[in-house]
Amino acid sequence: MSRSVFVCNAARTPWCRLGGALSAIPAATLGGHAARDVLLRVGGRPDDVDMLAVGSGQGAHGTALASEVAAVAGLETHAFRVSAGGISSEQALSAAKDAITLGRCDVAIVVGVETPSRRTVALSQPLREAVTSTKLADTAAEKLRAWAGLKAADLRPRATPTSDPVTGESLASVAEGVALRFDIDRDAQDRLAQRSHQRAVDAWQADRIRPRLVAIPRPVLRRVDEDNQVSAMEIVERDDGPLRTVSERSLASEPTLVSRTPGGRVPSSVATVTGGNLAHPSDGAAAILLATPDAARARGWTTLACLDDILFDREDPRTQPWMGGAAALSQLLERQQLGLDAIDVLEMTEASAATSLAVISRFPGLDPRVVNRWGGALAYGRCDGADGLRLLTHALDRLVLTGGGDAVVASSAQAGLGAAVLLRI
Amino acid sequence: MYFDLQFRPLAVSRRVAIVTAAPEAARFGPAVLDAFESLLDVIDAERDVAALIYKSASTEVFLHGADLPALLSCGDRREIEGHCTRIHRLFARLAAARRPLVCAIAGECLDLGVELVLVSQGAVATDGPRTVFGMPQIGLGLPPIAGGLTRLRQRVGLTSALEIILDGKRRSPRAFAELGLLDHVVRPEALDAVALALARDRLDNAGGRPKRGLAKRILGGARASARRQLKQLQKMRGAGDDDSTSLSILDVVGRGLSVSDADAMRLEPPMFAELAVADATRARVDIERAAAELGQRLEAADVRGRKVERIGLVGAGVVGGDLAVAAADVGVAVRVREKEPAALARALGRIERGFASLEQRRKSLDVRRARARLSASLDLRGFDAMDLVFESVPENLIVKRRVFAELEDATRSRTILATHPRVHPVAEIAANMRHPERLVGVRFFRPLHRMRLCEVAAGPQTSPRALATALAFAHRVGKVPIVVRDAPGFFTARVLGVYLASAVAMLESGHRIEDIDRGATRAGWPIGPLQLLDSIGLQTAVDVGDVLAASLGPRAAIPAGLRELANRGRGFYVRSARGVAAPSTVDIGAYASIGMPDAAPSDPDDLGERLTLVAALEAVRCLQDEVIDGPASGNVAAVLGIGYPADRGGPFRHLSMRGLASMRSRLAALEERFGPRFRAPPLLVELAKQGRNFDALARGDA
Repeated sequence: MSRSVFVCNAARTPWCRLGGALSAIPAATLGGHAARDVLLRVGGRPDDVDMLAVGSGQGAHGTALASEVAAVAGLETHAFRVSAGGISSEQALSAAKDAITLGRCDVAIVVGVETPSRRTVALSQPLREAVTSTKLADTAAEKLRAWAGLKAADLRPRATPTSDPVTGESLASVAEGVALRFDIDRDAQDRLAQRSHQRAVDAWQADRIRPRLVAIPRPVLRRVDEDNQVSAMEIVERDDGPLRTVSERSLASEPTLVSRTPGGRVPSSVATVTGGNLAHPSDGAAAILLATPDAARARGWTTLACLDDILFDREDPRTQPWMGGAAALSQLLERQQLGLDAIDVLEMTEASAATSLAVISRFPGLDPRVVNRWGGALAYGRCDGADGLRLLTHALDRLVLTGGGDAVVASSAQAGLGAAVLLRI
Repeated sequence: MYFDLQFRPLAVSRRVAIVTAAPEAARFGPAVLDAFESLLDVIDAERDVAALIYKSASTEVFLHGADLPALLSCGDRREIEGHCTRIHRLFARLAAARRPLVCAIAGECLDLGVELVLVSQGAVATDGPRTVFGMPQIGLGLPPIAGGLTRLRQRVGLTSALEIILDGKRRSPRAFAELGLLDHVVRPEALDAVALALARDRLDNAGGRPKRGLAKRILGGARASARRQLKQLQKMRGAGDDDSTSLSILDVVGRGLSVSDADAMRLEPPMFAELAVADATRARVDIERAAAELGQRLEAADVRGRKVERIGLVGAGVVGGDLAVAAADVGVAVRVREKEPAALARALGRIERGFASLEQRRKSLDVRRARARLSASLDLRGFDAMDLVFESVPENLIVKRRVFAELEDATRSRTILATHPRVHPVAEIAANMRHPERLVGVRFFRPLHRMRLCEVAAGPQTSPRALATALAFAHRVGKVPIVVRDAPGFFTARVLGVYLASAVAMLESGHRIEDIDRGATRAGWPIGPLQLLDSIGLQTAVDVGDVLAASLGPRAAIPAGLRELANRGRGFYVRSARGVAAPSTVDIGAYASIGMPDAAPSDPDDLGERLTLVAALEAVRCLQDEVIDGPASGNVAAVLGIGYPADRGGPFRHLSMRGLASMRSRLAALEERFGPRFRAPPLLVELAKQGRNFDALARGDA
């Protein structure tokens, strides 16, 4: 039995930069807000939902992330979380789609969430050993002995690494490599970054983005207000990435990054990657509601688009890092027997201008106007486990606005991972 | 079947009797007492039963107390005393039994429930959300029935005992455990096992519960120190205005201290009977009964409202925010809309504080689920799925109309719309609506968790379904809903408005602020009118008064002095730095603003009587204008909604008790001195002429 799967609605939180307005909000809360909102948009009730699939890239959240998201959203349903770096939300999407296609459930909510601001901080190995030994020790003397060999430096917390798990490279270093390998100059990268900001600002201005956003309350510093009470709230309701002030001149004045990094192997004379043409990490969450046409009709929901296909592919991260999306896109076009010109909307990862341009260069004849028309991660920021759903949300709304057609989301991630999603109206 | 009886093995050749009370036995009426006594006889006949466990089948209610309506309906003092003595003897029997009694408590344990704990040899309670302890009976003016006064003093000392009895507040299991009244507080699953273990333990240590520490016994229980404490208390109480119940209780405690404990307990049933036949007590009990009947009437109504699972709130101020918490708490999903991010943030902050205070009172898991039912938005997205949408934006006709125009576009036709009107009639607000039948007026009072009234106003076009939906929803969030006619100020705001205006008029005629407020509180109002004006906000009072005066005429008109005071942003009392009016410090500047620099002391009781009468007369005019459907709901609305002295049983009962004929002559005298404010309404004159009163009207006598 094969059943088609439709997107009934989508919602997302604002994308806010690392350490920004959403930095104090746990991943489960962000994801829960998005999940609840997407259900409310169609007037659904918690018991309408059969499955909650959560995608999240980091290892930061506890193993119960999906259950916590469900609790915040008031959902009492089967909930699980999958993790595949920057394509985590596509992975969750495909799990939900498969379950519906195979008739295991009718309605699913897919959530993607990433909170780099709340990245796990790890203990050093000697400190970890000391803590374990203390726990296992029987006598006070043994407990003390466990701490004897510890040095001051061992007490320093260790941030979990963000470098590529295969090559060990940072994203900036990856981008430099790609720029050199594909011969992409600084100007081209800055132009893309500038265009990304411009498009995002324009989309906001045209009120394309706001309707999908969930306003997030965040507790601010405790203070005494007129009610003599503490704990005030603030509402976060805008993406803080897209900036009107970003111009080619301002981008040109950004210092390059890799030349300053030890082991960067790129002298400043040829370095091109800057903080301006590399996506900054952001916190955010997005959710979409999937259902079979019958289930949607039975609940009185309208469907927005058909989630036609998802596939995954990989490129070798040593030679074509952060370009898995290109491989997945090629395969999708082939499988669906689609030409490039048949794609009305294309949303893709913009982890860096260099990798993004490299992916585009693989598809000569691709109309740049169909790609990331409302801006990309260079403006909004990169939010690994949730970006796939943000791209899907933008693709969905763009497709609705153009009156239908085919939209593709092509995502690339660390370790050469790639995913492509086909939406149809 | 009130009780279920089971026997279980406890020890070698010993069994325990487990008594499980059905929900019908939550109130001890005559029939329940019969059942319980015969149950005890059955248990006594079983020689190998070594212990008794008392528990309830429901986890909501352990024991609520005596069946007061049944008890008080006897009417005759001796009969009531006999009934009390019977309960008293039953509890004495339990206390003296050689078999230990163990209480396994889940749910509300109130009044007689607490007394049962006092006669038990062991008690264990769950930490579940519904488990609370207290003696709220005092709120009706009634003391403990079955010797609880003396037993509580023995157990926790005089000070704590009087605190529990006199404040009538509900306390957590932890608080009761800290006082030593509970042996364990456990998770619900462990209740039965721990009760059995307790029974076994009491069996092994045949001496009953472990003795309290020596120091505690000396400090808390010793008679000499108790007498000293009592003297101090009486001194303190005697100075204040106190109701007869607390005075009687203190008196009985004092007499009890000079006799043996057994004799002291014997003093209690007569005291209960004496207080039970007091008018004030009967009035309070009648109000409770009438309020319960209003709820029952609702359940039996013909028109079923829409089942409310989701509500939207447009504007969430103090009342809206509290409503969000109350609704989420009873399982309703709530969505809040404020247009401005700052306003939304304020609303959510307020709601979060509401949840936090719920959390303090209850277990967190429950509140966590309630929190998940709340969502917020800057637009009306998601409102089309709502069953009921409340508007509580500021009292401004244009703003309100605009909101409903917006709501009609954003919601489906089945969604019921509710406005939170202060004075403006629903019909006026609905004037521009395409479907005015969807709109109903629903008014809650602040602070919501304490004010039990909900005033529901149907406009001329409001559909029966909209009305029924609003009533059912109000009932669901624990309120007593009354239906009022759609007229300016409805019932509460109208009566309150005239009452407050007359208080300000008194001030203008040269009475002191503190005398006016003191007069009102001595007459039984919970708070003085001028202090109330300060907390409502003078500007709000002026706005409401203007609308009222437009339809009611001069008796509701805002005195110029109040307007002046409102303009200056001052109040009658000095505001503390935190913005809260300090009740003790009169703002001398208020006299000058009101144009009355030399106020003279006067008799507060005289002022109090006049204020209360003004409110009562306005209530009569409301009945005359058919704003309320009868004296019964008028009594409930006045007591629960505006704080009309509960011991008078509401305005209609108050006037009836004083006799309408004598009222007429009193009013004539007052009218001569103080003007048309006191003119007897035609309805009152009519009834007086016929020699009838409002009670007769309520019964529908021809």
